[in-house]
Amino acid sequence: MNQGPARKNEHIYTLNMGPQHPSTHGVLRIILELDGEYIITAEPVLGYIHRMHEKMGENRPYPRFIANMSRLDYVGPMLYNHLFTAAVEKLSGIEVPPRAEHVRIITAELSRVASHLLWMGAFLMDLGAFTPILYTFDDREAILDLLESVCGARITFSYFRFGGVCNDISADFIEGTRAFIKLLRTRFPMYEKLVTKNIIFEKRVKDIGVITPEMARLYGVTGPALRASGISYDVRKNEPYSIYPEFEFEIPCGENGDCFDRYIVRMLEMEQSLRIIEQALDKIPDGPVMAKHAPLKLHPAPGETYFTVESARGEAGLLLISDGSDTPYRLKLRTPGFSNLSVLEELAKGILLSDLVAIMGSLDLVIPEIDR
Amino acid sequence: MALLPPEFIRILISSVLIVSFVFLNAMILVYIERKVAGHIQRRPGPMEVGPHGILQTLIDGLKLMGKQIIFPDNIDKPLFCIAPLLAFVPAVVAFVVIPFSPKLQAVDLDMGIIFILALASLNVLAILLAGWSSNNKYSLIGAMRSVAQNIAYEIPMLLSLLAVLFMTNSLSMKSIVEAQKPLWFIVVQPVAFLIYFIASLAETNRAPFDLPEAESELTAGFHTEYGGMAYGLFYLGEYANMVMVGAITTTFFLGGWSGPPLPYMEYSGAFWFLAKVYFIVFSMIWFRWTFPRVRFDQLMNFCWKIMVPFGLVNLMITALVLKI
Amino acid sequence: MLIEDIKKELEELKPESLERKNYSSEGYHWDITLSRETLQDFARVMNRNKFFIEDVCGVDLKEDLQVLYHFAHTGELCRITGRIFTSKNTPAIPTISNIFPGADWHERETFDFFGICFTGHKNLKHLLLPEDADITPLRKSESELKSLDDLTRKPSQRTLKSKLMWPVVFENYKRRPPVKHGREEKKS
Repeated sequence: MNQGPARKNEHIYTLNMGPQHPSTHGVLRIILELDGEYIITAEPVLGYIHRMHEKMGENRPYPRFIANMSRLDYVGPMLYNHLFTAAVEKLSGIEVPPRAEHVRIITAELSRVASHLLWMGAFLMDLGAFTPILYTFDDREAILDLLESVCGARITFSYFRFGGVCNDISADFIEGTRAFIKLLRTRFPMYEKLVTKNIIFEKRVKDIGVITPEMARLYGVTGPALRASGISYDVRKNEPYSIYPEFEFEIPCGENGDCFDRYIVRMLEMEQSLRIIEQALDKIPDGPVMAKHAPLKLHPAPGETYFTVESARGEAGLLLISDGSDTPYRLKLRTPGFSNLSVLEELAKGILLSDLVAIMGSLDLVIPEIDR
Repeated sequence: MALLPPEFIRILISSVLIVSFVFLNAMILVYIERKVAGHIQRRPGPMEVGPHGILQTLIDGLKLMGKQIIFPDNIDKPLFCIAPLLAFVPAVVAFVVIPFSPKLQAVDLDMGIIFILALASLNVLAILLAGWSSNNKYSLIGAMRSVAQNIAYEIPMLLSLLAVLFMTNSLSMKSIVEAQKPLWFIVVQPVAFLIYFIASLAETNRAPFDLPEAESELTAGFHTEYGGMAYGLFYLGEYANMVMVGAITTTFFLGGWSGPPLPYMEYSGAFWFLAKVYFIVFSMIWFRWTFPRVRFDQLMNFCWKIMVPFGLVNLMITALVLKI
Repeated sequence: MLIEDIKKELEELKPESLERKNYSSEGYHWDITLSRETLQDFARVMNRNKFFIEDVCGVDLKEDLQVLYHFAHTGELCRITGRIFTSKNTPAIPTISNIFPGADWHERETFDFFGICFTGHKNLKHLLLPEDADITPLRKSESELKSLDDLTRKPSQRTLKSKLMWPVVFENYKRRPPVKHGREEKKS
């Protein structure tokens, strides 16, 4: 412990948090300079599961890259499926039949709810409450079962295709989804009683890790973390894609931008997602789920397109530059977690070690998405 | 055999009984904890070994005993070895003065409660040694937290016990129980009971005050580097401490062995005693699996700004009422 | 309208080119080509108008290396792409991390993948690649390189070249029934 050169401030020491640590959610490493338990500086070190998806994208035909999207973010994979397929459709002008759009939105929103449920459990586990994670996983399990019935996979979905989705949904799926919505709605009051109103929880997260709107803008923080700061920015509303404008839903916002608001925003978002799913289930038209003229081999004309969707963690963007061949010339992924994590360095100054854990939990870090 | 003084035989038998009681108890408690946690979390808990997983803890214990103890580099080896023993032994020794029933008590010391508290505070030393000697910063932070926490929470704990001692005028555990013949002290001293119970959660490092081993922050806190039976001793020590806290609470506030009469009450009073102890331990387990963990500065604030003043006021009121 | 208002300010930068793009196909409104001198001013304009930084991304072209800056606005729908070119042998661009701290990591990432040096960056070291990496993985080999002209959209070109269909094999795919969840079974 006392090895290394003597320092001027001998009570300041370095703590290497991660890459294997229970609350870094994967393989994030943070080099902490600590004075007692107070953090002086925190420097995240990334890249432990960097897989270079962008290079992979340049080397494989468009359809084969869909599988990569679910490896990118294994918590809300449908949303990334949507990002990539919709971006390519935009680039090459493929139209999607309305039924497929509805199916996409239902599955994508289910995926968002699943992601928020997992986040909630993991966040509370970071705060030392072991029990909620098993409840939220239980609920998430129901979503996975539903999605499994449509596409066969439970985590790494590759369900979307250019021009639609690969399987039609069944009547059982629709019925199961309605039952699930009903079930989850009965669970929210329980979560509120068990967690939201718990005084220890409140004390741990209120006024901790405040992201001001200005700070969020400068760092490019998006998603629930931005909305908790009181800025109503959601790609689904501000820059509607797919058929989101047809649905009624609200964008829940916080006020203070602290961990508690981030928690509340996500909880309310789940309810809004359920609303969207319900409306989509009501409206879903009959018809094919694949476009008639969807090409098997894709050669989009040269050009550039930038497309964004609202993933579970914020604005996910994709820049596609095509050179007319069957592989993209350049594929750039803008992942929300990357920008959201970059704010940690500033948030961590002068806080306690326990608060760092709370802040990291509230930012909803999914390391594969950040490292890409 | 005749040469041995009867007192020696008595000590021998009672110490064997107590050590086996503690081991057995820890095994049952670990099983109960896992089962209760499981049911709180809507899962069955251990189910594989034996009917309803009843032998799971036995097998786990055997596994721990069979494991090699790993000594990391650059540790302070003597201290590293002493720490688990220091965590376990005092926790066991303290049981000699616990009155399980009128006749089931190894020694009835005049200073019973002082003896227990003195031994209980050795626990801090064990954690400090473990954290310091491990050559691991997480362990050290855990140890620092533990020392600050245990020393702080000893004060409200003593204040609450003192209020009861004012009423009994005796430090002997047996006479404290006997003093509750007419009325349990939980009725007379509800504030003291609450303070003691909360402080004891902190003293035993149980959630929501499990900061020394806060998993999500410090990986495993002070025992990060321990494995095998060294870890097992910390574990046993923790459960022995839990039972100890339950026993003190029972003795001081819940009327000890008293309860509806059973045949051979002088011995079978132990049944009521253990039932109460297990009830206390159960609620500790219940708390652990329900609440998040508090933050360190909040923990200290809670102690110094709420528990200590309340304890003092309670003590003062007790003293005044007794004087009048 | 922010889209129109911003035009004046962007023109004041005297960019090499400023183009209004078709949002529905390209995904952004303004495409501005900057020089090394005007990049910082561009970032200041973005900051003044309350844009937030989306990302910084490099593209390897036949002639030069290109760096794209994507900005978006939280209040109004307005996306702006800034481009800057730099030579391949000594790629150097002024940093904008002093104006947008969020650009810090994006610039480091671009440094990782393309070896582009951002002058004035406080902490320009590898972010996603190992500390001792000396590769620039996203630079392309000579044969793969295309010029910028090949990559821009031609109005006359058809967007879809191929007309092959997806085989509709999924129609008869027998789906297994949805898994009944344990909870529901208990109730019945």
